[in-house]
Amino acid sequence: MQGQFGATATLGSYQAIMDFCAAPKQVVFNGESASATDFQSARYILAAALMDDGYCFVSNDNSYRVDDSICNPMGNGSQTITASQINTYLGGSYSFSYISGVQDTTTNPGGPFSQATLADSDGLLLLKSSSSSVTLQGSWDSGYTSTGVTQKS
Amino acid sequence: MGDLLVVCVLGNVDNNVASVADGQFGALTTYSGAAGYDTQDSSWMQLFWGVATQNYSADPANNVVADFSSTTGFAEVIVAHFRPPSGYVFAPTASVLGAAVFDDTQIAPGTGAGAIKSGATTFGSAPMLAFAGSLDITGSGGQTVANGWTSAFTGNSGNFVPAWTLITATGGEEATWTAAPGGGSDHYQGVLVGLKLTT
Repeated sequence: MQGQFGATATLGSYQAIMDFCAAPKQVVFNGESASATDFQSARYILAAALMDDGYCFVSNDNSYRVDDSICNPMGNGSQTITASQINTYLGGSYSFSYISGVQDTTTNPGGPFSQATLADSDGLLLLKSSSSSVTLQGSWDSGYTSTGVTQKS
Repeated sequence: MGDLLVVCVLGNVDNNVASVADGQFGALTTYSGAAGYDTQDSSWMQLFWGVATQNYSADPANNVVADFSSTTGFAEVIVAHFRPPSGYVFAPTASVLGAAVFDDTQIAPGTGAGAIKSGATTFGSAPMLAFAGSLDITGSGGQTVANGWTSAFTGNSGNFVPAWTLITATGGEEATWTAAPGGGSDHYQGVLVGLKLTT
């Protein structure tokens, strides 16, 4: 938001959202850095997130982003959620994958998501894809050649 | 970033490709199991691959150069450029990309469906792009993919037919073609590799 509204408005909105949410106030402060090596922006986003008590999420070039989350409210008991149920809720046909975590690789193992069992008062962040297939971008053939080195553009 | 280039080199000398490089993807890698020589037809076939780690600025022409041995009388390069599903990238070539295996049971031309299999080697990671190439060096080609895998181009004037699929479970894999009646007198030749995807 800062690029659009400035630091004051960004942090003000962040604080207002935190104030609005009921405990345990699971708010994600999501910042976009210019590149995977834009560590200054990453530090800035982290520092801004620490101005309050939200979770921090830094992404770049849309390479890593959370596209969907599922939440199991308090008092609901253990629940199993499937990709089909999420698609029904979203009204789409998406494939989902786990984020590839470092600290909690059991919860966030990476790879395709089909279903997960959430404990009471737990949640899960997922990546959403509209395409579940590998696509061919192009192909070419040098054709027959009798030379030792061949190339084709 | 994260795209994959798969290159199949064909030749007529056993183990005759020293290196393959692409102007955008850099030096391509391979495994010994991703190659095979058909002694009956003197046909060499080997797969190389690389993952893009740059933004396509090195060589806009995207030239692929294969360094064949000097004794080669026949050489050919067939290239396919793949993009992973949204949310994924192909694993860097520095990491293990999965099993690379020579075919188990070859296709007999004109006799129906046959398979190029991973045999006793299982693909130990998922998701993975399984890619296989089928070559009919002596016949008229025309073999068609039969088991639901995708095949969207051909090479070697139609005698080389690739196939690929996105696999989401570990284990053995096979690509299956229906051999055309006009296939060559020898069995079809092929190799199969698994190329790992990551988030």
